[in-house]
Amino acid sequence: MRVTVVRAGGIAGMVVTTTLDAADLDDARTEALRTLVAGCSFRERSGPVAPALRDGFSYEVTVDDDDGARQGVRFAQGTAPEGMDALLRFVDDEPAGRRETRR
Amino acid sequence: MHLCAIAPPSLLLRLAESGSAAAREAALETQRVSERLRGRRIAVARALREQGAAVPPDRPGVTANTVFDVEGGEESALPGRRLRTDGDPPSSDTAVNEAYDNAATTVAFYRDVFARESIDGRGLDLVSSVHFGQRYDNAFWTGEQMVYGDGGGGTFVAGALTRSLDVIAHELTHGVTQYTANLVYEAQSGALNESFSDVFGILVKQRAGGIDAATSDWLIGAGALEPSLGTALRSMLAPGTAYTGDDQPADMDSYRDLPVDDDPRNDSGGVHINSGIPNRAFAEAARTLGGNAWETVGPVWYTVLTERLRANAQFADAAAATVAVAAERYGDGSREHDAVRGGWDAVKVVPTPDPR
Repeated sequence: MRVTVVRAGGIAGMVVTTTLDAADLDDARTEALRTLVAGCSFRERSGPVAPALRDGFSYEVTVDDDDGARQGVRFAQGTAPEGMDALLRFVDDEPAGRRETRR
Repeated sequence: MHLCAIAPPSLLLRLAESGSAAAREAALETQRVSERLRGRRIAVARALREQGAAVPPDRPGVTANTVFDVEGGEESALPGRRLRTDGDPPSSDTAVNEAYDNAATTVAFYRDVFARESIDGRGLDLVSSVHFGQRYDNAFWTGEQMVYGDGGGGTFVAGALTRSLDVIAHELTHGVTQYTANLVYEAQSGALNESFSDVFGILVKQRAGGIDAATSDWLIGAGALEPSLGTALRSMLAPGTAYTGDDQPADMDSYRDLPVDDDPRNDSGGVHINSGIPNRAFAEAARTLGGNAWETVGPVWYTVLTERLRANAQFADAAAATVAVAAERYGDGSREHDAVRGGWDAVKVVPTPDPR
């Protein structure tokens, strides 16, 4: 399983792409990652967005499963689908994540 | 008065394009009402300025400045716990004091230089929250308040976001824009929205430091990035050189025509990318004139932002309006008029005829 998080915008306007491959994790962390992904919704959240938000981040999260299945979702800061905040935090904090910054 | 701030034109236009017939008509009517209200607001601002009473009489000089600690929480926890307001001694928390002092410096700039009372011109209270999220590498404006992360997440040096006066003035200016031109946050109007935040961000910093146009480095967020990434977020004088991978265009020949869609890589049609073009037009004009930019071209850009632009203004409209205002303020053929025209010429933006 591979999780790819693209975070862009913000005052810096940079594109930060973080890729986390379960192959780089031990069994316990892999299990934790799978549990987080299973708890995520990949449907855009309905309801109000923040129309006056300036310099907020926007995200694209893609999960590629070992069997080739792929699910993904895009959302603006503050409108993350169910479970997604916890997954973002895990990917951000995981030292095995590979991170690339560009515009 | 600020209907347009609650439902921005872009959203209304999207509704008008995609909704049912009834929703479409309702959205268009709301858009028309917003335009009328905005027209009236412009008229009032102009009358106040011409009569030498730019500060509305209802709440002069009473803007409260309050800083909250959101304690690592996110949107749902805003604004957080109140830690410092006017009259309080400094906090033991550095970020709180920086957010307080830099917001006060920014509001004093708008009051002293442009006789503008706070974000809305009517003394709106300032609300800032610090310690947003975990190692959150960003600062933003919610539509109602300023929010700062701690940095330290790989992009910003820890503590840099509240420490940088131009970052704080950039965010506060998003509020000023919201209450004035309310530039739609996508493609060229969005890049203008970003550029006005950079322009007044650097002017606040220059005035506070007594830095003239020739001496300024014209960098936004100098020293705020992790040093391995680069020296600053943006260079107004040399767009595209602030950090490794900075691809801001320096003129229209390298304009990035990106789609306005939900792909985060496209930055709402390049709002933080193409802002390099109007940024450089301003910096070039200011450098041609020399002296203090907040006293030369700053007032021209301020009048244009607050009185002359429609919400969907394009670069050519901003160019035309700044050239026209420079001529009105300093005289047709004055060196200021020529410098502003030269600034847009340098970035290869051809002004449209004055939109008024």
